[in-house]
This record gives sequence, C-alpha cells and structure tokens, in this order.
Amino acid sequence: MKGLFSLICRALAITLAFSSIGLFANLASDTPIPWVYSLPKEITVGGVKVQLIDEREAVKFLNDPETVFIDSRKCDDYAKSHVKGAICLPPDDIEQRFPSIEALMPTEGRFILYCYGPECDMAERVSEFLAQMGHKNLMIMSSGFPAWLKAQFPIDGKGKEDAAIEDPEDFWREEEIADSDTEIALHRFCRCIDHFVVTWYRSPLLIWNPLQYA
Amino acid sequence: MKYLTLAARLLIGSLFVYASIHKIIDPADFAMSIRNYMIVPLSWSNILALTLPWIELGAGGFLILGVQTRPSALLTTGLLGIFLGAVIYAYSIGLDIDCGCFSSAASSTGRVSIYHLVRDSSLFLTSLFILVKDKGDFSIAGFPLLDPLRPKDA
Repeated sequence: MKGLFSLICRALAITLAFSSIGLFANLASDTPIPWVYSLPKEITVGGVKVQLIDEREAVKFLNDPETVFIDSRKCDDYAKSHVKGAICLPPDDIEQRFPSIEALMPTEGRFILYCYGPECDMAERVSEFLAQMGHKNLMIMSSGFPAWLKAQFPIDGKGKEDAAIEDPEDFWREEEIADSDTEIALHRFCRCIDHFVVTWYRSPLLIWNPLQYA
Repeated sequence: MKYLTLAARLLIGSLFVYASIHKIIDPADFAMSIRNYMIVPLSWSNILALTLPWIELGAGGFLILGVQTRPSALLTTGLLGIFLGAVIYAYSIGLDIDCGCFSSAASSTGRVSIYHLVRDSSLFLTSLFILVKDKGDFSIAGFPLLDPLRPKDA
C-alpha cells in the first residue's frame, strides 16, 4: 500500500512539475495565450465589426422579424436540421446561391451566422461576403449549431438523435443500443470519455490519431 | 525480459513525445481543438492546452530515459486506458465524430475500425507491462544525482 501511495504521489509530482513548465513556457513565449480563455466580443471582417455571440444570446433574436439566421454549413447538413427559420448560405457556392436568397436579406436587417462550431470559419467567410455586399449588422454565433442543438433551442428538421434514424450505421439513438437505463447511462458516460480522450490525443499524423480525423 | 521492457519503454515514450510536440508548438491550435468539442467549459481550454502536452512530453521522455519509470508508466497507462475504453465504445457504436466542416475532414475515414482497437489495446498492454515489470534496467536513474526522487530500495 505504501508503495502504491508513493507511486501515485510521484506520478502527481510529474504531472504538477510538467504542468508548471507548460505554464511558464507560455509566459516566456512570443505569443502567449491567456490561461483562462474568454470569447472575443467582436472581430472585424471586410471593414465591418462583427459581434461574436453564443447560442444563449442568439436565441433572443429568434422571433425578431428583423433578424435572419444564416446557416453556413454544407447544404446536406442544413437539410437534416438547422436553426428554426434559418436560410442556407455555405461559403463555397455563395455567389451562385446569393441572388436567389437576396430578397430574404434586407440591407438593414440583422444577420446571425453560424456553422459547425468554434473551429469552423465558414460563418466568418460568409460574413465577409455579406460585408462586401453592404450588410453592416452582422453577428456570428461562434459556438455553432452543435451548441444550439445541445441547448435544445428550436430547430427545423430533425435533431441529432432523430437524424440518426436516416443512417443505419449511426448508433446515436440510445434506445436502439440500450435495453435499460443502466446501459443508457453507460452509453452517455462512454460518450463523454470518448470525446475527452479524442480531444486530448489529437495529433497531426494519423498513426497516433485515435479516430483518424484530420 | 529487461530488453523487452526497454523496447516497450522506448515505444510508448516515443509515441507520447511525438504526440505532444505539435501541441506544444501551437497551444492555441490545440486549445481551439478542445473548444471545438465542447467537452470542457470553454474557459478551461487554454490551461488544458498549456499543461496536457507537457505532461505527455514529460511522461514520454521519462520513459525513454528511464527516469521515474513506473510513475511515468502509471500516467501513460492511465491515459491509454481511458483512450482504449473510448475506442472500444466508439467501435461498438460506429461513432463518427468528424464535424465535416473542413475539406480534410471529408477525406478522413472517421469511423473506428478493428485496426484501431487492436493497435490501442496493444499500446495499453505495453504500457501496463512497463508499469508491472520494469525493474529500472537501462535507466539513467542508475545515477543517483540524476534521479534524486528514486527510492533507495528500488
């Protein structure tokens, strides 16, 4: 028992020591990042200041007739589900699609753009285009559609669980894989662990990338 | 046996060091990855991105050098154990976590296969093997000044 305690203490000491090195290395870095992350409030795109908001701020505008939600994800994903009332405008074919939806986008209106999440730049690219087209009142819901879904705010189409029904290989539906509450609880626990570890072990080369995503 | 332990240490250590390097070079990018998965509160993402890669580097480096081998193996085994559990789970349900928001994501295979399961089971067992069997052979810790924390009876 004493040996085990010693082992754990030494492992913790390594953890603490190298965590400290990481924090000090950041301080000595040319481009340090703050220890505690806070969302930037706005960015400037195409000469226009674009406010960055989260899903809780965005939902306040859901029933505002002056506000248009713009889904910048791929149209296939938009077709499955999107923020209630949103229109689809992905950046890759924006010039082809824009004329057909321009009538829905008054110049003085407020536009809230979103895509897949914080790492996704598709909403930013669309906002740049809209800024060039003369729209000034732009916001980006930087947490993206997954956060909207997670918060269970209104959507058109099917949610994550329901959407899975269309894909026989997708087992997100807990009732399909679990016969009891215990199995559902285990499923949710494993899902949390899975995401945590995948994040932790993300690596640029596939050999060490557990789920082989780029 | 001691040569086998050495090989296992070098394998696991190298992998951990390798996995940590790009995260250390660009912690902001790693923090963004953490935020993208929305598992931990956004405010935690930076401090996790600043500390976790260094822990990986430390544990991996110590395994290679043979310094504090068993505590390092405990760290790597713990991490790999969590990782293996996730892979088993992901394989069992065909989980695909690609967000699909980048062109590179579209070209990745996404889903976990039996290959990943076998590979990561092997890594976990290898790390566990180090934890259980390492006797301090081929260790720089043989020099007391280089490893003052090492128990005298080890």
